[in-house]
Amino acid sequence: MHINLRSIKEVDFEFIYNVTKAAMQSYVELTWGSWVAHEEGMWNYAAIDLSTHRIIQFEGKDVGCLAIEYYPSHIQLTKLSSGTSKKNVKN
Amino acid sequence: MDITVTLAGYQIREQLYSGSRTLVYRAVREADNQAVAIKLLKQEYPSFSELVQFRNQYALAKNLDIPGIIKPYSLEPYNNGYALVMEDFGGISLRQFTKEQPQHLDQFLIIALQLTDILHQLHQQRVIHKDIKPANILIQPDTKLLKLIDFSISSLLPRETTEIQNPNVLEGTLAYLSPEQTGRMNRGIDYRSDFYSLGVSFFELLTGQVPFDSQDPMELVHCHIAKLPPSVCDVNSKIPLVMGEIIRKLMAKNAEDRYQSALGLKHDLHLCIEQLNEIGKIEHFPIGKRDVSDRFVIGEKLYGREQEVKILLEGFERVANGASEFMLVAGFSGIGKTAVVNEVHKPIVRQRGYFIKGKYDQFNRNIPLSAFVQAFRDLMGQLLGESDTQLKQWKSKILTALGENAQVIIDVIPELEQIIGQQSSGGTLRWCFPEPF
Repeated sequence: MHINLRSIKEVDFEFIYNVTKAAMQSYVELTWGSWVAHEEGMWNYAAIDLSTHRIIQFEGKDVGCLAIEYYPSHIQLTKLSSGTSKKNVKN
Repeated sequence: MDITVTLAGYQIREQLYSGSRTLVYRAVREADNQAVAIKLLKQEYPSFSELVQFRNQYALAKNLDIPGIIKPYSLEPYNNGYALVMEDFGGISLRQFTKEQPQHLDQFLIIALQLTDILHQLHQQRVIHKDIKPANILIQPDTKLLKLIDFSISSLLPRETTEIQNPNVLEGTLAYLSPEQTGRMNRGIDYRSDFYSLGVSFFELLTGQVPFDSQDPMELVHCHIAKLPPSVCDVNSKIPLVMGEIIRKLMAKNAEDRYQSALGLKHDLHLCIEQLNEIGKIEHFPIGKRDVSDRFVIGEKLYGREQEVKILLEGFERVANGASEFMLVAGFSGIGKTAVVNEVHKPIVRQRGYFIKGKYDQFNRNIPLSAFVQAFRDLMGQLLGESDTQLKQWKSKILTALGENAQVIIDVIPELEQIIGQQSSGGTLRWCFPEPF
């Protein structure tokens, strides 16, 4: 089992949106009523930081996204999303 | 991390604060050029409880007409969370202001008196803040005007109870938490919980350190419920003895031993200021002379159960030394069984044990083992709050003990699956629980 993290580029934004959607859509629908794709996409893209986000790779394939922020007092995991199946993650 | 924040109708000027959960910005409302502070949830997808807390602080604070609190103007949708728009009076947090350095007595008294006054007004409106600490107090550096913020966990209930939870997930801030807020005191939370947190804050302002400092959350809980705080006078010998007594009274373990009203505390602080102004020092005087409660509070101290509590505590001591015992407490409903059993919380925290309970009552007679199931579901909840290392140890112990019966137990206690994972079916449930339980 080989898990790897790689840095992201702008071409990864769509993948990050898709794994975020796979992970969060049902929660957002339960909380706010609906998943408005163009709004969620806009917010998601705006929140992506090239310096903190990493793509999680499993056996060489992109499967999820991780974001970690480093502070003097602590390290904060701000995002951890993974696509559970090919059906959920389109790339 | 530099994310451009935009909120329609506002011009964001600068970031004031960036914490692990929230961000605060200084901004201008375009409609009327009003200076405002905007608080946002940091997470892209805030949890439901974070959203509820945000709504709570807006709903509660907007109905309060108290000059000593930051007035919320509006709560606006912001991405998948909220933006709380509040008044901006140019304040910074007391934590930033003091830089965790001891304050001079005269400056401390100015701050302490204002804070006490704000607390008096808050309690008059029947609000318990529940998270008093220097980080939640703003000060205008030039005028020294104070305002209280963050009503996320504040309550309008006259009395609340806290369930026993893992200290990592307790509401509030561990270093400032009153003993009853830990859920392990067999006492409810009322307005006097704020006095305890105020005492901790006073201690920090005068000494530059909190009375109990530990990286171990359970150790902190134990300190709050059982350890006597050090005297501020021992930490800083320049602090008058009476100041130490005031803080000791605020930080009493039992709420009935603390000040019963902010006015009583205010009177004592006034005497300190008067003496300091008139004779340049603070002589000793009897404190709490004007401390009269303005409300009817029924004490929660347990009376007439000393023998029963003693038997329980002795039993716990034996069990803590390796024995296994089983105790049943019987009695009519309402007679006080729960109150007696809950008295064992303190020694359990001291021994880093887990307290779980289950109760058979007349409404659950048709459910076999209902009290055991209730107790162990509670235990699973507590274990899930532990660190990964401890969870792994528990997983190993439980799997060893349960063997092929693991899935059978999961069927009865579903939370167990989150600790040991799904198990292969097999075994049958007997009318007894295996070893680790």
